Amino acid sequence: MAMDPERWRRIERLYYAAADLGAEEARRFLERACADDPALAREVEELLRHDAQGGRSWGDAVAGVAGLVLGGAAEIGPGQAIGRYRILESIGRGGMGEVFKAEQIEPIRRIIALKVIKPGMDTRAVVARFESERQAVALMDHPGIAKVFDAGATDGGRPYFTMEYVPGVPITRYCDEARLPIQARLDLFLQVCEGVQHAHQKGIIHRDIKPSNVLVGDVDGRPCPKIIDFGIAKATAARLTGLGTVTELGQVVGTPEYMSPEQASMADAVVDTRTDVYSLGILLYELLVGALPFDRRTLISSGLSSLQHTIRTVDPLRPSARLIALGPAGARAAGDRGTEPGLLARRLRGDLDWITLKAMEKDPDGRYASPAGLAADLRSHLLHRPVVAGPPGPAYRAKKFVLRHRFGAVAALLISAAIVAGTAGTAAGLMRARLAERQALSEAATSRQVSRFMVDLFRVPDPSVSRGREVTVREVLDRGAGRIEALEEQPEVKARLMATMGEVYANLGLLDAARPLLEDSLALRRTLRPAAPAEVAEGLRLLASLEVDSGRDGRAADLLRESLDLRRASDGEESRQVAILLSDLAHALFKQDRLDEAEPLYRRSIATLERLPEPGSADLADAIGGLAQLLHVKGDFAEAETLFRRSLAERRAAWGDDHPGVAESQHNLAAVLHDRLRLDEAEALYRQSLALSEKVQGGEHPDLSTTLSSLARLLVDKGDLAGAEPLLARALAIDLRLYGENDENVAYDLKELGNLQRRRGLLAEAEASFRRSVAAYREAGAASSPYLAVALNGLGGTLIETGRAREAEPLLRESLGITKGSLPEGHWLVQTSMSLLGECLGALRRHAEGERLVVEALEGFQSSLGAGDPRTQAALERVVRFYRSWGRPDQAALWAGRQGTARP
Amino acid sequence: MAESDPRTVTGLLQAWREGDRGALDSLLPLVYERLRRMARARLRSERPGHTLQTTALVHEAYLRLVGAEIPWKDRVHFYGAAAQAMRRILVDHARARSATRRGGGAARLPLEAALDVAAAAPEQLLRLDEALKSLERHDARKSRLVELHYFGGLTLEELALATETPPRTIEREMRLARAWLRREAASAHGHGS
Repeated sequence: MAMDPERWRRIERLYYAAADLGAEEARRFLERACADDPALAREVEELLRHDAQGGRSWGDAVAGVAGLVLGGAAEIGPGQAIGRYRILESIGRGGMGEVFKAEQIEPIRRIIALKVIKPGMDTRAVVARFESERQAVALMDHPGIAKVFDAGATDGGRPYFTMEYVPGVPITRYCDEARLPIQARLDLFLQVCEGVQHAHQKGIIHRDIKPSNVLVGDVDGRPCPKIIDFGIAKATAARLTGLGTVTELGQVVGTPEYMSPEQASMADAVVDTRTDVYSLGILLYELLVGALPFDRRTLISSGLSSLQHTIRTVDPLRPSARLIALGPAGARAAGDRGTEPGLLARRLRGDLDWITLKAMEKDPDGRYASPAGLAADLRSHLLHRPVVAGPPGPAYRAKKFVLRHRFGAVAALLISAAIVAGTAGTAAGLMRARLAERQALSEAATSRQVSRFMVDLFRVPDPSVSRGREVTVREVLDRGAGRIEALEEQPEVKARLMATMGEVYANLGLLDAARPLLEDSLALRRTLRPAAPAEVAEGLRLLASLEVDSGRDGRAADLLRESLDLRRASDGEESRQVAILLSDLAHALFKQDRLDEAEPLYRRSIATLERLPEPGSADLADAIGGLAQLLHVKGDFAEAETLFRRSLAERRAAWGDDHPGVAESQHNLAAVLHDRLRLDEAEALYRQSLALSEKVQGGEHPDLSTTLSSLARLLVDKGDLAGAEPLLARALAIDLRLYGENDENVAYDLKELGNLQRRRGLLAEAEASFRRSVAAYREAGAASSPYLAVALNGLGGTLIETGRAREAEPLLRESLGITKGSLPEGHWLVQTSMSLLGECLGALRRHAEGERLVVEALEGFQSSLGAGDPRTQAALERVVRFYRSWGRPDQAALWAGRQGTARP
Repeated sequence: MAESDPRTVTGLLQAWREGDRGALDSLLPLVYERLRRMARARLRSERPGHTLQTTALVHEAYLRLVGAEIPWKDRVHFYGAAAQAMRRILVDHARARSATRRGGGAARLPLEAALDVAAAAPEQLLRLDEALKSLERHDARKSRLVELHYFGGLTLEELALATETPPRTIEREMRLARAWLRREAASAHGHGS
């Protein structure tokens, strides 16, 4: 029976109005309201009666039938028989299932622990995997290891394991309750290491070492740790991406805190004995500090992908630093260890910090090779012998950063206007910060998609196929790319997947692999019927961002323009999409040094975003920041400052005070103030930015090193050379750790350091820094980078100063070749190289050959930078020196006099 | 048979969200098949459960089919599809069950199961299904809310989030829907058998 919609709407209104009235009141109300239609009043009254009646709800009916259909997680209780065992009582419940104390009658009578795995796993596979390890498990015989006896399936089909019953409590709890001091904790921990080592020698890796799997009980009045669950984790294959650990709505349960980076990575990476070493490191950390390196709540609330990211990339605080950071909780932890926080921190500092961090290295190669190695180093510490571990070494190399920075560095040089005689301008650092920021933002946006897709992808392969063999991310991606081909009949899905894959490749820096996918996806989207302009626009934007990364800004701009046309037609000029594309296009033009074209686009984007009902602070702040940087480069410092202040305020409003983006904005604002010669204000802001970076990004982050070098340059300008050097050294140390020696960022830092040392008169040190810088540029494949030319100039200049012009000449010739080949004609850096080569030839008494070079360079400086620029001044002094050394004081005086400013 | 490819599911969800009605038709069989297989597996487990919720099963299906974090909007669409699939499964089963009982199959049920059946008569579920179909004809939105709630396991707060409606509104809509369904089922019962 279909109801008249108008009538139903009336019923609804009346019902809502009457629902909260008492029965009598409702009746009177309905009578009044439905004077024209008594039947309507009766119907609503009837409904109200059914509402009040309640009774057994439909939910019960659904649940009842569902329960019948689906069985469900049945309870296992005392008295129940499972296989040869009889359940006595439940003794614990964990992420993987429930553990019972049970009794075995045959063949021997004994008490055992029986662990029933929670539903959701393939029982046969679990039992089969356990069977395959069974022999090895049986070989384990160590007082520190609880024996695993048997595996089977309950009548209900859930897998279970039986093992030695261990009366005891988790090791962390035992230590805290007994208020054990560090020494006693280390003694216990050493026993744990021995147990794990024994298992490794029998070929068994635990894979799930954590406090609740290390139980401590008193045996003969002495604490005795026992590791449980050996051989079980592999059988149940609990991984972060496995079903066992991810439950409702993506919530992660279980124990991700103890999971090694290789386990957290979604790839079926090789898990070996060093995986257990990592977990032992975390356990040691917790025993020492009373807290985990990463806060559980933050780990879990931030979602699966970011959790994996944290485990894989974020370096933990040193135990001693973490203790201090804990505040009151740290004081409690110290109390549990029978000491004071200050004393405890001092006890941990040094050896124990290093040993713990070495065990927890992200890269398995950086860890101790075995639990025995870890134990040996701890013993050395206890015996006051030197330990193997030192301050941790390179953990990972951010390839993506390298790829993007290489381009950024060159771009920055082209537009920068301030490197001379050791005083680098701020623009380069600025661009680096800008790039890092862009990258951080775009990565945040794509990583969700990436992880979604990757998880899907990694779920596809049959684990038995890839077993025992490392499957690289690249391999899985390639396989995924192959699979996409099969989606011929679903072109939309296919196009979208290809686009996503392309983004993943691009994100990993595999630009060549990304390009065909993005191109094909775009081509496919263009053929979709009915036409899908939004999809095409998105495809164009993706490809454009790849082209920006590849340095093909011209094509990027073309693609963005086409995308803009589509968005204009579909969304209208005054839309967020159009505004964002305008800002992207402006960025691409900015990178091509087409400032005059970029500027109005930024302004239009900003104006549109401001007019939108919800401006969206992040997009707006981004566009404002972009324009500010452009104005900074252009030299319009006043407006740049105003805009940087706005961008900073927008970001504070959007993200709060403690956000990396705020630190970026502070840095950029400081850089403008620096150029406006408001040095004290700039210094204060740089220091704020520095403190914030340290707080929110930890001690080792590319942004931090950028800010350190910016601040160092400021101190140089203030004449505080001695204060600047340690800052630069720290920036260098961070970049070395992030990227390794042969990297452009490191080369850049070394060059800066060399310039500084040269100015301080430390010529030997300067020479060494320059040489390292040159070598690093070459090794990094930057043989034609203008930055290499700058480093060569520094080295050449130092060599001339120390009387080794012959050595300098080939270097300076190389420099000139590079600058002429890669920079626009008339660029000041070409002239710098030329001028230096001329000076070099003069020092070699080949004045006739060098004259043209020094004079031409000076004229170039004068016309491009003006007479007042310090670089022009330096070139002029060089010309005067040149003629003097040539024995032509008349010419020297002529030049000196012509300028009237040159010092004799 | 090959496992349904999770990428397909994710892609279909997105397509559906973006307005492609056809995507739902491709999606439903996948979800239905997965839920049914899981249900069959459950059937072999120990005892008919006391605590089983459709919610848990739908969540599990979600993890198996999608298996990753996806935007809430897409997730809601998945739950929508799962709720529909779940409804079909339960109704299919209830039909089979009441047929069996008429054929004298009840004697073969273990005692607890028989009690459960008594408590949750499959007929009641079938009446709900009929009433829902009838509600759908003049108020599709409320019918869908009920489906999501009972069969998809979404709480009222989640429904509010999913439909971008204030929780208070959802609450009273559900109240009316329930009252209407009860009346409808009661009258069908009275006039029917």
